[in-house]
Amino acid sequence: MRKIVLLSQIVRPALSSARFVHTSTPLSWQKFENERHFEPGEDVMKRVWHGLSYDFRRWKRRFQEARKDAFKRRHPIAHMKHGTLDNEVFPYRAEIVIIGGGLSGSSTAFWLKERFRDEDFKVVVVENNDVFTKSSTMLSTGGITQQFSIPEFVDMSLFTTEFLRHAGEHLRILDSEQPDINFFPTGYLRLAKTDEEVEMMRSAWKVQIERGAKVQLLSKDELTKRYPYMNVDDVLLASLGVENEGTIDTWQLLSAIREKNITLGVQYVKGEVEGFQFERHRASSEVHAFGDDATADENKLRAQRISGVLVRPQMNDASARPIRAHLIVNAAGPWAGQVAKMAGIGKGTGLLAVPVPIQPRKRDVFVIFAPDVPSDLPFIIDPSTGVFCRQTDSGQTFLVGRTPSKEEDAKRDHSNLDVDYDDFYQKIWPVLVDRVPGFQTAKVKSAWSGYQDINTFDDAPVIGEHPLYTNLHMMCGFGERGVMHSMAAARAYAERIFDGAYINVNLRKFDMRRIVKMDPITEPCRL
Amino acid sequence: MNRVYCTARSFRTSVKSNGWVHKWSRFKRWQEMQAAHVENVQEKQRNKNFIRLPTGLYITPERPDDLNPKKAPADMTRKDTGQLPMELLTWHTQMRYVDHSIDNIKRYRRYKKFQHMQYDQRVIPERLLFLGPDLAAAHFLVHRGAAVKFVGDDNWYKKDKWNRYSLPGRKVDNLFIEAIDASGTQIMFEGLENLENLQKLRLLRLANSEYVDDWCIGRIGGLLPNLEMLDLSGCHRISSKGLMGLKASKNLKFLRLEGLSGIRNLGKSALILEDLLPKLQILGMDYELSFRQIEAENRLLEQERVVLDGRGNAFVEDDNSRLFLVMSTSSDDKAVTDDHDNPIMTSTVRREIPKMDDAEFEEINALSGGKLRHLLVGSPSGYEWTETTERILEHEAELNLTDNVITDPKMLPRGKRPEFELPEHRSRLEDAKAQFLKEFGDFEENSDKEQLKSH
Repeated sequence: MRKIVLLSQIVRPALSSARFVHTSTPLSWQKFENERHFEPGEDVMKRVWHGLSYDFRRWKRRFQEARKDAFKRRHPIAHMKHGTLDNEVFPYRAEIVIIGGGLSGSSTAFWLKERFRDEDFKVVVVENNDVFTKSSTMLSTGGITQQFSIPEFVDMSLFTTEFLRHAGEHLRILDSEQPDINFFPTGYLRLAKTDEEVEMMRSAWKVQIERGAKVQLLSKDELTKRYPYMNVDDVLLASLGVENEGTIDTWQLLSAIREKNITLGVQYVKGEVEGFQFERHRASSEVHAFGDDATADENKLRAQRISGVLVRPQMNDASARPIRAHLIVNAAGPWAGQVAKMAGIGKGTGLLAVPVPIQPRKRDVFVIFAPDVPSDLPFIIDPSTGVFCRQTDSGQTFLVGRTPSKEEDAKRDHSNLDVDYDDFYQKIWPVLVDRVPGFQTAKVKSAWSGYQDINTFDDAPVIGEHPLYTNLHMMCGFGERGVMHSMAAARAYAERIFDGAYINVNLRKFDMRRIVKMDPITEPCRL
Repeated sequence: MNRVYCTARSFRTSVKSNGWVHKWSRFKRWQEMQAAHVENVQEKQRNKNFIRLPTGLYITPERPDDLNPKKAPADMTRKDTGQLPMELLTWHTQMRYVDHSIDNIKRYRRYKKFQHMQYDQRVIPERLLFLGPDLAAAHFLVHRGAAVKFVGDDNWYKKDKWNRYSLPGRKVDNLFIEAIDASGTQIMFEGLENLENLQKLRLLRLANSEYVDDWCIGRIGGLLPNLEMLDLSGCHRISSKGLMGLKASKNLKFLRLEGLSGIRNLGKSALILEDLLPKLQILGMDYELSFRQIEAENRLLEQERVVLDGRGNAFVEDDNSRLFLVMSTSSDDKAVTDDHDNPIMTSTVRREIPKMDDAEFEEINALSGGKLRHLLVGSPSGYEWTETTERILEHEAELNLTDNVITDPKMLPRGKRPEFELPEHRSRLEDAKAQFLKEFGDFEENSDKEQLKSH
């Protein structure tokens, strides 16, 4: 009896304590199916099992996705997508990898998929859009003009305006409503104050009229009659755009292109580019084994080609992994020079000693309210000081800023994005008051700073393949002309790939050969 | 005679040119296609004129490339180098994506019709030279369903029910268009170029035109400086920004903007335009609705938690200093839906719930028109924001109940989440109206007495 009592005393606490323990199933929010990639010949048995069981795992994934679909769609391939950005799952291989998801990169992806829609033709856009301060598209004022002296610039601007005019039709998704890229039509007014500027303006006007732009030359009397509130005593000749000039909403355009891209099959990947993957040309031998030891390193750099991009995901402690690609587009905007430096461009000798001269330059934009300035003020650009005045909305709120000269820009500190208000009160405001006296009562409402991809070598963008790594295509350095020229440059790239050469706008003069030859392209019509 | 010739050649040409497979809409510019056609014709002429005998016989060269203009190797296309075109190489692999549904065929033909209209409404220089600007514009407009009126002539010229119209077929001196009624037509930006150099045009009516947008207004402002009357009623593609394209029309007297209540900030642009153009009077503008919308926006911006950024977007800041977008300067009402008007893509990656009081959250959500909760469920972009959001919330609540997951009270569906009494906002517009009636009520009473006395 004592033994029985002792047993019950031992067992009873364990039995009674079991009633107070609550358990629940640990729920993982999302099971990402990180597809395994097998190199040729690697782990044959696992590869066979992976292939045999893929259908079942896909059915399971689709069931889970359909379970989360609030609209209960039943089409087998209409299952809900995780999101526009996969934080973990990276593709192993793509036909074209585009570095940078801004307006240049997204336009490139759009025109590639517009020309050739195939699921096997993978276009991957790598971007890091967590930091909005480093987005040059969203912080752009969105100005569009055709008043340039280089004919290709006028052609690119005209193509962009023609596309944006019916962007709702081109970027429409199935039967949804058309995206609306709001356009604020106002002409750009350029003023010439010296005889050299007058001659330059006349020759530029001939180029513009020849290419089909609608630009009007105004004498001083016509200018005074049209804008009586403007001080034009020192002006000899003026150039005013009659139509196809103004500002658009760059964020609206970018979001419309991105949505269209996602429905066309472009994969947006959120990550940071950390380097490039190289491989030896198949036709060349291993130079370290067979060549001269003194020049083996240099010969190796010349004998290789870029085969992939090393992208680090956004997760903590995640390592970079390669996305293999046949063609790589460097559309990283202000950081295109740094991305090219990762590939050794600008650090080696010979052709590799020539860098991509794109630097992130800080530009301040001030939002001012001027109640005494009429609302029909055209977009003013002062060529000597670089002060510009634009609008993005109706009313008397103006976006003013200053584009410094190259010498001054090289001396400034571009590392911090604090707005320099002294720049407005000392260098911008006096110029505006001299031109339009109504700006005396202007007040600063807000301001922001953003980066622009400025070409420090000359005034033109860098468009085209690298002389050595011919599958790395540069599409950067647009600067203030990013909105009006990146769309046309992207379409030209698609023509280059699928037709073999540029057809509509010949952009060969903008490739890196002019940098190798130290032959700069000058565009005197500043923005 | 209206006789239709249907031969095998025309049938084969039409089917071939239209493309018998409805693949998908593709971007094409008629200028580039025309230039390619001209180049093709010139190439054939060069080949025929290589050796041409007096009797008309010709001998083409053995190497046709010798006659083509020389190009740099980097400028040679696949056609120049003799490679097969990319369309031919990949045509068969893309057949698996062809969608033969009726909806896709309608989409394909819709875009193709749009592209054809771009070509159809271009300026034809021969017509302009032969007829002069006014008569050429009259033919262009009347043929596409518009009506025109000339100076000194009381008749309106338009098509009758048999699509016939009588306009002079050659140039007539002193014939000027005075008024154009192009309402309900499909005139677009490309077609407005035909109205250039109409010196005596005073009235232009573009009401209910589907393709009139901001760019068209900019072109009207730049092309027609003598315009006096403009009607843009029912043109739903214009915006408040685009209306400022009329600021160069110094002679504008009447602008009609009826039926445009859905456009944001249109009243503001109308008032600014009336300030800029002293002769202008704007008709049909619902200023009360505009004021009510601005008042609603200001009510949201007056909240303590709402902050503005440099571009004018409004965010709500929670206790952990995280920002949630509640008002955007860009219009984001466009929907991306599938054939059943459900959002194409919804994200299951959820943002964290803002850390604030439930009542405060509900108030800000109501003031932002439901946008705060709409963005928290992944911005589904349906036609009905609120209904789509509620459907997702309901589905997620059921799913969480099944999976034993606790749902935040802010994310419960309607009817299950705690209800709060939202504060009643008195409108300044109503206050102003009450004040107005209080001050001028005696005038109305006195006018009634005057009428009684006169009777």
